[in-house]
Amino acid sequence: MSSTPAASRLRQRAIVLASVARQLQRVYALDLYRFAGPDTWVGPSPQACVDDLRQRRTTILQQSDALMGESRRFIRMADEMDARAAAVPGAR
Amino acid sequence: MGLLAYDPQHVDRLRQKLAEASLDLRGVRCTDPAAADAMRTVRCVVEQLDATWLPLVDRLLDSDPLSGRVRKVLGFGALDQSLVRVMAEGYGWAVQFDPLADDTAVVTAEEARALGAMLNTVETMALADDPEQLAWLAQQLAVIGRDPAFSAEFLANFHNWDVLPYVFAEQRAYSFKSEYTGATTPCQLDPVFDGLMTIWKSTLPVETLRAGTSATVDALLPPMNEQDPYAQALMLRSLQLDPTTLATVTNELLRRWLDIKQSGPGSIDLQVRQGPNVADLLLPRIAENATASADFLSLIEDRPALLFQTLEDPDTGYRLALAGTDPAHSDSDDAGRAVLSILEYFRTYSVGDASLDNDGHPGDYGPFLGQLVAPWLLQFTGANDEWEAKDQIKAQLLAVALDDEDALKTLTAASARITDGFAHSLATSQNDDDMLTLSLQVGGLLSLLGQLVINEHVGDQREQTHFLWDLTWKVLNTALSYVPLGTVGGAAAGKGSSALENAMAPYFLGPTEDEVRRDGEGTMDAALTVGASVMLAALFQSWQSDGRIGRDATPPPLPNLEEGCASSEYRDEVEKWIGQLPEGAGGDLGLAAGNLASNFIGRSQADEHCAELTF
Repeated sequence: MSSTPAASRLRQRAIVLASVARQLQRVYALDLYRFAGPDTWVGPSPQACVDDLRQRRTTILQQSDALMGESRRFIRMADEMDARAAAVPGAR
Repeated sequence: MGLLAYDPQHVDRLRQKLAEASLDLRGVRCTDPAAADAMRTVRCVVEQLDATWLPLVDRLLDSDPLSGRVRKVLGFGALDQSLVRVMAEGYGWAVQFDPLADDTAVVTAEEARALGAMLNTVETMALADDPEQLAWLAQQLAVIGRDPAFSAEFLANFHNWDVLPYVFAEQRAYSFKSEYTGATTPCQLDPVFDGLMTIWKSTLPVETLRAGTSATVDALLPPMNEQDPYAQALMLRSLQLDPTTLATVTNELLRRWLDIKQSGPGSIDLQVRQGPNVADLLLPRIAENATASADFLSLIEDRPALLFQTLEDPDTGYRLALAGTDPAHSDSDDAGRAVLSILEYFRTYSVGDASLDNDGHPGDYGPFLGQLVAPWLLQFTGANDEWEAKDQIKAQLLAVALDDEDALKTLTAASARITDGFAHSLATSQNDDDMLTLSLQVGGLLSLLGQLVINEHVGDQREQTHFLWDLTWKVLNTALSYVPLGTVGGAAAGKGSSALENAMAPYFLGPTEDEVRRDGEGTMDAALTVGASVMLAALFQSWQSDGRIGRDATPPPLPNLEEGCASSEYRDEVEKWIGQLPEGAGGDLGLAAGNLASNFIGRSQADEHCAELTF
C-alpha cells in the first residue's frame, strides 16, 4: 500500500522527534548531578547546584518522553490517513 | 553569605563535566514545532549551566581558599558551619565564601552527620549561653528528628550524652536564680532537649517506648555516666511518653531524687534550689491525664511523700491526686488504696511539720483533703465494704481529712464531687431491700460525719453545725435521686425540708463552747432524724406507686425538731405509725420501714444522742 504525501510527512516528523527524544536520553547533562554531590563540595550553593541538576535531569527526561509520545501519535495519524485513502473507491 | 567547602580536584572534574554537558546540549537541535517545548528546556539548561554553575565553579577554582586565620575571624567554629568545618578540618577541603546563605529549613544527611560530630567537640557551656546558636540548633534538630534516616545519621556521630544534656540542664536550672546573668532562658534550651530526644526516640523500639508499668529510666534514655535526675527529667519530658510509661519512670526517678534530697544535694535543681525541680517538670504532665494520675498514685502508695515532699508547686500534687481518684476514671479499689494512703500520710505529718515542706511552700492542704474524700464518702462508712480497711481505721482517716475548717468548707461546697461519688457507688433502688442498703450507707455516713464534725472541731470554731447541716442536706438530696420516684420523694422531702430547716435555726446559735457542743449533738440528732423522715417519705411514696398501700393510707410522721432530742420522740412516732401499717410491725412493710428508720435513728443511737443532750 502506498502512502499519501501527508502521511509520509507525518512519518518523517515522527522519525525526527523520536531521534531527538533518544538524543535527550543520552545527553551528558543527565549525569551531572553525580559529579556535583557532597563528595565534591558542600554548602548552600553546592546544595542548590545538585538540587538544580537533579531537577533539570527530570525535566529533560520528561521532555524526551513527551517527544516519544508525540512521535507515536504522528505514526498513528499517518496510518489512519493512509487507511482512509485506501478506503476511497478508485483509489487504487 | 555563608561558606562552602570543596575538594578542588573534584570541583575541577565538575567544571569539565559542566562544560561538556553544555556543549553536548547545544548539539541537540530540532526545528519541528512539536519539539518546541523540548528545545526550550534544552536552552534553559544550557543557560543555567553557562550562566550560573560554570561561573561558580570557575570562581572557586580561580580564587584562593580562605586561610585558617580568616576562617577563625569569620566565626568558622559556629555550629551552623558544622559541615564545612568537618570537611575542612577532617578532610582537608578548601573553604570559600558562598554567595548563598544556608536555608535552615533544609537539612541534608551530610549536615546531620556533621552536626552530630560538631556537638561532640563544641564548647558546650558557650553554646548553652548563646541564644542565636541555640535557636539554630533547635531548628536543625527538629528537622532532623522528623526523618528517621537523618536521625540515624546524626546519632551515628553524636556521642556527647554525658556532657551536653548536663550542661544545658545546669544552664536551665541556674537561669531561675535571681543573680543569673546568662543570656539564655528555658524557652531557648527546652527546644534543644525536645529536638535531641525526638532524634533519640527514633532509635527506641516501640515496646520500650510503650513499656507501661515495665518502663525504666535506663531503657528510655541514652547511656550516660552522669545520671543527674534533673537532666534526666528534662530528657524524659521531651520524649513525649504515653501516660502510663511516663508515670512509671517518674516514680522511679522521683524515688531516687527524694533519696538524694534527704541525703544532700546531688541533683542540679537541689544545688540551685530555685525554680522548678524534677517533680515540677514531670508531674504536671501526669496531672493532665486521669489515667496517668491513677497509675502514678498506685505506684506511690507506699510513699505518698513522692507527691507531697517534692513539688515546688504543691497544687500540682493536689491536682494529680484528685484526677487520679476521680470516680469517673478510677475504680473504687484503686481510688480507695490511694485515698487511704494519702490520708495515712497526712495523719503522720501534721500542719507545720518540717517534713511536709516541699521546695516551695508547705501548701494549704485542707481544701485538697476535703475535695479528695468528697466522692468517696460512702466508702468510709461501716456499711460499705468496697475498701479493704477496718471501719475504725476508715473513720480515723476521714477524721484526718476533716481536721481542718477549710477542708469542711470545701467538702460542703463540693456538690459535684459528692454527686459523682454517689453515682459511682449507688444504683437506683428497685425495691425495699435496695432502699435499705442505700439508707444504711447514707445513715451511716450522716452519723459518721456528724461525729467527726462535732468531736474534732468543738473549741476550734463554732460553725461546725452549719457545716453538718449543709452536708446533711447535700447528702440527703443526693441520695434521694437514687430512690424510686426520686422526684416525688424529693418533692416530699423538699416540702418538709423548708419547715425543718427553719426549725433547725436555733441549732446554729451557740454563744459558749459547751452550748456549741450541746447544739452540735442536737444538730447531729436532728440531721439523722430528718434523714430518717425523708427516706421514710420516699419509701412510702414507692409503696403507693406500686399499689402496695392505698392512696388514703396514713403517711409517715414528720419529726418535731423543736424537741431537745428529736430522734427519740420521732422514733416513738415512727413505731406507732409502723404499728398501723398492714400486718403491723411484723409485716413486710413494717419491717422495711423499721429497718430503714433504724439505719438513721436506731433506738440505741437515739438514746445515746439524747443522753448527750441532757448532759
